[in-house]
Amino acid sequence: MKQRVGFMNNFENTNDLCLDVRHLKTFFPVYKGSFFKRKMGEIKAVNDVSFQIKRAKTMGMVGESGCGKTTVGRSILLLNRPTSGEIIYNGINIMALNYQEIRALRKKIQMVFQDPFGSINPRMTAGDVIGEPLLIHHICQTKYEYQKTIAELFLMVGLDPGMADWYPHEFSGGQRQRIVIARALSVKPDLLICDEPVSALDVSIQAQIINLLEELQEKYHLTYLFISHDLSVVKHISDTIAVMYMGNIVEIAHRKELYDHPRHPYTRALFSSVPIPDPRLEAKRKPFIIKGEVASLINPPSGCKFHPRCPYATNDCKKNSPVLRLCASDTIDKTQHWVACFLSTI
Amino acid sequence: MLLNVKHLSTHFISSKGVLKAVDDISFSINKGEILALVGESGSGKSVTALSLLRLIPNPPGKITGGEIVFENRDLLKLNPEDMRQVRGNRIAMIFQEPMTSLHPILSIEEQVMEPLIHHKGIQRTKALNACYQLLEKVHISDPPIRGKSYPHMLSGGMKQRSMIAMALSCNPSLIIADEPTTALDVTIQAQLLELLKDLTNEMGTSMLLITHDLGIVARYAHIVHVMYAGKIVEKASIETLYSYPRHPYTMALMASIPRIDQDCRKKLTPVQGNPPDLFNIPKGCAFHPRCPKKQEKCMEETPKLIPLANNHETACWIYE
Amino acid sequence: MTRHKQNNTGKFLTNDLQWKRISIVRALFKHKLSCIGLIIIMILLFMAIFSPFLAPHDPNEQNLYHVLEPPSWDHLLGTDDVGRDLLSRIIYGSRVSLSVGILSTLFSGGIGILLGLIAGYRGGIIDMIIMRITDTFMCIPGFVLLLVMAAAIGPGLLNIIIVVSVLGWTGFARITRGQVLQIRELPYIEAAAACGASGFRIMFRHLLPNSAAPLIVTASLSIGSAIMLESGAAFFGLSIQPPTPSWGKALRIGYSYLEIVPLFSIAPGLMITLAVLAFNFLGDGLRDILDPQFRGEIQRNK
Repeated sequence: MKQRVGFMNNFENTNDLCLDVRHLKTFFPVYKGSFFKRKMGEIKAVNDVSFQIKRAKTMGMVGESGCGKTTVGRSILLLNRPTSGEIIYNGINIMALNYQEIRALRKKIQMVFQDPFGSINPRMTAGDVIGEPLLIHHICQTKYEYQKTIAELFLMVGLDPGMADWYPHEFSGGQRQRIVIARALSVKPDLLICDEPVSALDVSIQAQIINLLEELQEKYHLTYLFISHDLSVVKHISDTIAVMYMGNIVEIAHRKELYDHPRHPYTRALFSSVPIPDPRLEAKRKPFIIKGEVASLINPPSGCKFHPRCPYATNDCKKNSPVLRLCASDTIDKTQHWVACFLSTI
Repeated sequence: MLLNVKHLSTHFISSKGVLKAVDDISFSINKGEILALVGESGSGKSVTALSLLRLIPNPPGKITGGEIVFENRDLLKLNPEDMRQVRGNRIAMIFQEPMTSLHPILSIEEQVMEPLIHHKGIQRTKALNACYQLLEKVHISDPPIRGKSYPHMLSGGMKQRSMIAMALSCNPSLIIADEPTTALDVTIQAQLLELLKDLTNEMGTSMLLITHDLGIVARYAHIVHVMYAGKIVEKASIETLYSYPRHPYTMALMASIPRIDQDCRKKLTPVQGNPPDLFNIPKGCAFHPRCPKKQEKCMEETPKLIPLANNHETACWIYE
Repeated sequence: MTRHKQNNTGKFLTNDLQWKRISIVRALFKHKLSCIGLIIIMILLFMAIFSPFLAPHDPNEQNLYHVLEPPSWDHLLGTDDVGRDLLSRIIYGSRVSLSVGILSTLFSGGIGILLGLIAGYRGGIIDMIIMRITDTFMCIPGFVLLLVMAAAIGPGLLNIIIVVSVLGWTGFARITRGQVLQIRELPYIEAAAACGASGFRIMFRHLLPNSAAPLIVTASLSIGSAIMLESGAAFFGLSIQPPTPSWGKALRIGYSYLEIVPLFSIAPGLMITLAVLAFNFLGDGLRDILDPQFRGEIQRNK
């Protein structure tokens, strides 16, 4: 059995595991030519990612552009067909299901999208938008039940059911995101994949939506995969955080452990780059700023993909790719701390 | 005092009514200072920046009043020719979206040379050398080779560096940076802001930094002005603002942002309500529908900036 | 931040939720232009359906003693070149012109939009095949096809309808495909797929309404051009055979008598203009109503 990354020391208690992703790879082919297309190469958007999410917990996935975190979320939902690997949801391997079973699965795994303006059909009323999954999966038997469910969903996310006839452009950004959340919840899912749900919102509204997501998680025992580039938000809402870089997870640990003892140089740089809104603390912090930019995904660097930017890179790092190794177990909440770096004794 | 803005107002006229994007604001920047203008979308900070350079499109928008005294001249009274000499030369601007702010079919070196040739009248060959030096300064490697690339070939960080090079080319006294790093990754953001800070220190340039990120302000700015619904509601140095915020909006904002140094999973206290509809700004203080401390007076009269200690001003009736 | 506390839920559950949705027809009447258009179309349709009751004379009754007469009490618009009452011919002529316009647009629109949706949404090989078929059809010259059909099955109204449909669908297909290509990458289409929506649902509930604006404009223009095409074909005797009246034919024949009895040409010309205008207004109204901003406003001000 290859390495299993995640939460608990003992894996017998698989009932507690909501999602178990093993060696997920999603590659996008790059074609040249218009009529007869030749495959020129591949973009290895997700390159061997494994993690586990415990039921009713939040896994945060953080990283910059090109790291593949959005693709991981979309691969779990099968919006981008994974190239290989296993995605085990409640003990069932999603990759082995047929079309009907996948449709049924869509009731259990839902997504909250980033763009509150673009993820709602502008020509449907808010009530229609929220009610569409109910119609698709034939959840309600009568029209009365349908309208009642929609009213309940509105109340659940803090909106006035009287606004069910309004069109999306008549709502504010925060309200639109609530509609998106209500739509995701309409089919009573277990697992919610939140792809940058607050990034497009004003700062004063972000807190409202974050609180709403936390309340809903507590009330309905939802499991979240929270994907974002905003480290402060991810650290606030997640239990475990996975840091991704160019298609791989480079470090995964409990959020407090990750902040107190970051092992991978990229994690350290990431935390150091996020400014804290407190000038006295800022003056005392030592900045750890790495040079360079994310390399191209079509021609990634050899060995450890981070080595061109890493101040501690050795020859070994240029030749071999590090894999995730357990570096501390039994930290907070029995969460293990794994890191993919040859020099993780720093 | 390098820049002194007095009672600036910019209005936009549309079929739905008059939108007071900027409503009677006054502020000043000294030489070498970094002033941060903080606010959310709709607060008027970007419109302020465009008004300083008189880049407001005239049919819908109009600068309806005030003075912008820059290097002892009122920019609002300059004729178009003189104003053009100011833009890019004395005041430079860095925009938010490098993708759309760079000319897509001119190479980088052409674009960086353009202000040099136009404002300083330098010969092309000399301008090219100056351009390579500037690109070196903003840490773009191999300027003779990179300079010939087009914007779509570069990453976001590189594009923004080219913009910074363009902005610094004529050694301006003031740089206006309108959310310069919002569209970039956080590590690149840190690199670029450090770069901007170093360069402005080195050249003694002042900066007007416009952002919604209170973290960036804490790290890089000297003085902060908080804007809400077109007005400045609080002015302070950064130590004062973060230690003793006085305006309820500032306080609510600070309490609502998650911070990476705070661990306990305590709930964030969000700012209640929704951002104001700029066509129907509430009577009195624009923040009163969302304010936890509102009084009778707040619904009637618009508060003016009231001085507190330490160069700290706030526009709130509580402190009258 | 719930605005309604839990104990208020009952209020919403016991009463039937009064969803203040405004139906499309009512909305069309609220829009000024489309209201006018709808009224005119209803009058024209009434004229077409109830022609036998409305027409004062038999449109085919010739009276060679009263040829090319100006308007009189007996013949309100005068007579044509063989003494038939012009007013009756205009009233009966609405049947031909309206049926050509509406039917051919319906067929070409139906086929074109469906193929365009499939091509745009599916992409890949299916898109390529459909587009090459479209290109092929676009190369077929309309007039030649008319002649061929007239030779094969004899001239008539069906020919016109078939030809216009067969040539017209390509325009609809291309426009639909273009719109779909723009929209299909938008997040809400993906969100619908993530909710489990089937391809059909996505095409008809999401892609089509958001692509509709240029299609409506094309449809209303196509009604007008179909009517004009019929008039051109009528000139060459490839359309409906005499003595059946049609606006197009009367228009063409009337050209020769423009100085003597101008009404012969002008009256049918005016009717064609009125019909085309009415459909254009209706199209404008439909397009505006499908725009959520407009719809939201009229719903609120109800």
